Amino acid sequence: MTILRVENLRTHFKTPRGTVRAVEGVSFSIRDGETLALVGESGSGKSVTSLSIMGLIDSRIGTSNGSITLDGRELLGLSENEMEKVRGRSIGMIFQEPMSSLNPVFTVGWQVAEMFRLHRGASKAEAWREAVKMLELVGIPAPERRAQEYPHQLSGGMRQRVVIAIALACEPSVLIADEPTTALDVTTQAQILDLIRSLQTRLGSAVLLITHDLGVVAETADRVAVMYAGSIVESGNVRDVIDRPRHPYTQGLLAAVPEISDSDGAELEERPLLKEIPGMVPSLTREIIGCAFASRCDRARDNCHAIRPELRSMTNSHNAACHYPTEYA
Amino acid sequence: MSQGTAPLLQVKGLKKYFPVSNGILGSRKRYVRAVDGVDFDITSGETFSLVGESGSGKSTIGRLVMRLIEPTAGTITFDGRNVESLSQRELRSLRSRFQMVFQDPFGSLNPRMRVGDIIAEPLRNAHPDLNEGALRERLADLLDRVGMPKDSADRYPHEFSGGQRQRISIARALAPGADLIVCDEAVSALDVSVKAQVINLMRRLQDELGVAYLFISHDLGIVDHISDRVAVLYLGQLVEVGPRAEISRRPAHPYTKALISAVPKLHPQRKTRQILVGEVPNPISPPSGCRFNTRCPLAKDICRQSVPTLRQYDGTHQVACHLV
Repeated sequence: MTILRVENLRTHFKTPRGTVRAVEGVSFSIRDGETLALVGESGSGKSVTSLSIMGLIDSRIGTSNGSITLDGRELLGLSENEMEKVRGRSIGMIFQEPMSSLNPVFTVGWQVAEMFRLHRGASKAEAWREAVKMLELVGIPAPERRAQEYPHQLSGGMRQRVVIAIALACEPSVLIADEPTTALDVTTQAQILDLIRSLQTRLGSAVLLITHDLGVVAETADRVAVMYAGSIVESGNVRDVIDRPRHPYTQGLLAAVPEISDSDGAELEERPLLKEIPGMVPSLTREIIGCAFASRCDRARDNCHAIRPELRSMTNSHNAACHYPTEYA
Repeated sequence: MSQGTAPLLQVKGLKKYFPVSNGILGSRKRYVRAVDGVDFDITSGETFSLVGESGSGKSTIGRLVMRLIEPTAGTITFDGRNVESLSQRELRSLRSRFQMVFQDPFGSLNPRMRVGDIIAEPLRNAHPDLNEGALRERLADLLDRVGMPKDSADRYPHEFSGGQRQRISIARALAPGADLIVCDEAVSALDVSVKAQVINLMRRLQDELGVAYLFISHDLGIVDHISDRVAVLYLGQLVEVGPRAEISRRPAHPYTKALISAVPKLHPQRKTRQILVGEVPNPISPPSGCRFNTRCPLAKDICRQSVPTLRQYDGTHQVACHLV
């Protein structure tokens, strides 16, 4: 069942230099128990999309239009009070930097317990017991003792586990993880991704994973949406998009990733140069006419500069926004 | 540069202990053993990578090589000269030959200097006799080599993107005629497509100018792409050193194996992925014996008792493990 649906989301910011169209017509949906990855480079709008869903766009500078429904209920236009009940209870959040998402002056146990007190009305003692249980669930050794420690006493990986404990305390139907492992070492990243996966299976939550790392996408997500300059340029099942990318930007991104080659095949002594995507991301302060990628695309023809390509279906739920998508036999 | 087979940079028995205060009384001084007995050398025109996780000591080694900090023990020899024994004046003249590119392209360029001055400053320091015309010519050549437009000399760093700033940093490092550039996570902060541009640039410059890189990174994909040889660090010690293809295809040390298997891949082979348990131990009191023994899936008694030394494994491939 579809739990989260985003339709034609537009989030714009007013700045002294003009309106920044950070998110420009984004639509997607996530089903129960499914992981959708939003992937893109800096400025693609992936994080602003997640902040819009959580209602964390500062209304003094930014506005979101379109529709965001959680389990059929429209979230855009809810008051701050109502949104506060949604966040934490129905939508859990994990951010990149665990140190700045934890409060340095409270013990980690207190911060997990707060979730049970606020959203479940649990008593102090009951909430603490639940918090310790939660810390154990996320793999923190000696949880009774660790619960009494402050964030600075824990390592980066342990802190991220605490953040996950807070996010999942109320068994939310949607978990939004914005670059959850970017600040972590690779062996810790593997541990945390495994933890998110196993807890997701256990709780049946849908996960919206925001990342710039295509390897992480390939190993964790069911479906992926590739964002460029505020819009989705390609979406589909992870294997379809990675093995048979249609959009030239997706193809460029995939070719630019230097992968460690641990295959036992030919000893490639000659390392070819990486494939580059020429040029830079366009400015988002002007309305983009035509395809946003056209100026960097070797496939672009006249109509690419004039007509904006819509996201359209290629094969079974694989979509691309390109006038000249790559065809596969 | 024409030193035959003599290494450009030679590091022997390098140690760096940072003192940590021990509470208010400070009765017994304790040390973080950031780098604890490291040997390696780099030849001209080669890319030598140091990989490891946070706290492995890789950045400390980079700073020691640059002599930004003083070692606790060990020697660093650059082109046959012991770097520590040099006077400030001698060091300054030698320093034009080893330069550094930092991770943060926003923090490492002076925002109040024009790009032209940023690059010209080390150029003037290294060649005080250079006249304005020659200087300008050299500057234009450097900008061109790193793929920056000519007019960028008159502009300020904030006008450029992260990738362009790293190009400026590379031009600055090359300006005085560097033979070795220490790159500390030089592309880590860049987006995928920009990262590829800068990596390709670095490789082209190496082909053209024969510069050597000490490439410090946590990104094994990039390291596998850019290196000639790779050294893997764990808690301040080298656990494995070898040619790039050997390290990525036939890693011998259990830590290297775990590190490589933890990298998320575009085409995950459903081989049993090895996830390390636990965390890197505290470098103030590292485990006895092999420092990896607390997390090693193969650890035996000997690993807890005696310290394995780096020894020949196969050709130039070296490993520090009792069990391989």
